[in-house]
Amino acid sequence: MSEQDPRTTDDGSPVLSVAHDAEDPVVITPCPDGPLLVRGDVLIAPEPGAEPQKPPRRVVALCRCNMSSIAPFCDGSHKLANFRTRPPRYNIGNPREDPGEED
Amino acid sequence: MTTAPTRTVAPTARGPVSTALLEILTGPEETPASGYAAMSEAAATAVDASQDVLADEDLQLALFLLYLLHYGPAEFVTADREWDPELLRVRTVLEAGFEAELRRRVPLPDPLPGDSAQLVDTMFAMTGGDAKPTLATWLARHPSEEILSEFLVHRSIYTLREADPHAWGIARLRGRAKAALVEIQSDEYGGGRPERVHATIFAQTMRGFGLDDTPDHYLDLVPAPTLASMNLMSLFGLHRRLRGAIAGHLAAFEMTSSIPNKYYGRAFRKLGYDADVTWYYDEHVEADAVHEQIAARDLAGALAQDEPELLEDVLFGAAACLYVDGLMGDHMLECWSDGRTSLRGSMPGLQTVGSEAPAEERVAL
Repeated sequence: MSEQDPRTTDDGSPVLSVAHDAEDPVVITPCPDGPLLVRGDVLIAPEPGAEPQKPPRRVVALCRCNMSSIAPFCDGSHKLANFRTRPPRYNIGNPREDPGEED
Repeated sequence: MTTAPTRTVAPTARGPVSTALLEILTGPEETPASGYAAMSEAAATAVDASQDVLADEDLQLALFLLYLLHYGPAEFVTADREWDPELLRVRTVLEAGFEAELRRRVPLPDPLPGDSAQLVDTMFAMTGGDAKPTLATWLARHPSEEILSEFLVHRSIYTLREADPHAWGIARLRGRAKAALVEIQSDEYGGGRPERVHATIFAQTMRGFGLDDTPDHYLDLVPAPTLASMNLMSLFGLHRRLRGAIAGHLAAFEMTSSIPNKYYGRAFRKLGYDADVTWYYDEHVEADAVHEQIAARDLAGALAQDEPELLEDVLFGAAACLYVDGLMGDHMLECWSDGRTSLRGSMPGLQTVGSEAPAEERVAL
């Protein structure tokens, strides 16, 4: 191990920060036929006006099918309900671009 | 710092291979050549002669003990045996028989998925059939102290070291698949909080149910299908060649976990147990709904995309998980439906199905 900062990527370039901070945005991923996966440091208010709370894990799955027994979190019930999501209809990076055919 | 209790008494052998192996493990540090020869011969003969390696008590126990050397604790083992070449040689013989039987019997979809996106769809379809799980729903309808105590005994073999077999896979993966596996394992190991390590939460469930939480305390009682379930994970985890299979195994495991755990929690609550006992199950309803998505897409899917030659093994690992754990569940359900114990015997203080217990201690169904 050299005396240099050991935090480098495979091609040798330095990793600027490994800590999660305000510059490290939360990422939300809609899973097909399943929950919204929320990755990052978030607080969740159980209902409008309620005190936001820190969820017990760094990645949480939020229910989309409204069948979960632990809403707002997912408990897998979408599979029993045969819940189906529509494909993305909105180009998030470029809202003016046509995302595809309408129904 | 506290030391976890360890099993100090050697388990009971179940046939010629485990007899010869236990003689070495509990014998003098210098094993005589005749001891190794007896074990090797017994293993080769037994694998050839076995009618069903997955249900073979002797072979599954021998394999379990050989893998145990890598996990520990195994206080009954007198010397440092983890890398004893003669033991590794015999493990290879047993593993070859085990893997050959799995490759013969585990059903794979035909045709195989052509790319990683199809693989993810296939895995959701394969595990969707287990969405309404027979064993878990049956337990929630027919819970009794005896049945749930047997259930915990079976589960204790793996769950008191939950996530450990899949952790072998971390060093064998790269890039996205590695990051996804670490993200899941971080949750399994409590995210930096020792009291939230899943194996520790499960130990609390066992104590809350009046059971001993020493790893392998109940080893003598569990039959081959339960050992095969653990051995499957160790086989996949301890071979770099099978890194696709360990990823697929974890994905299938996580994809069939949330809903069963909801029913398991319900079964314990029906008997009046509170959150001290049900925390393990409640935690898994929530955690595994997250892990399912990460394991299917970011672990299994990304691995198949980055290393397409592993796609079939990812699928094999997933299918083997469902198949072998299905055998374990079928065994329990068949025994309990008949009013028989699913264990190989009993121990003082352990309530088992079919044993004589005063009527007032039985729970009305």
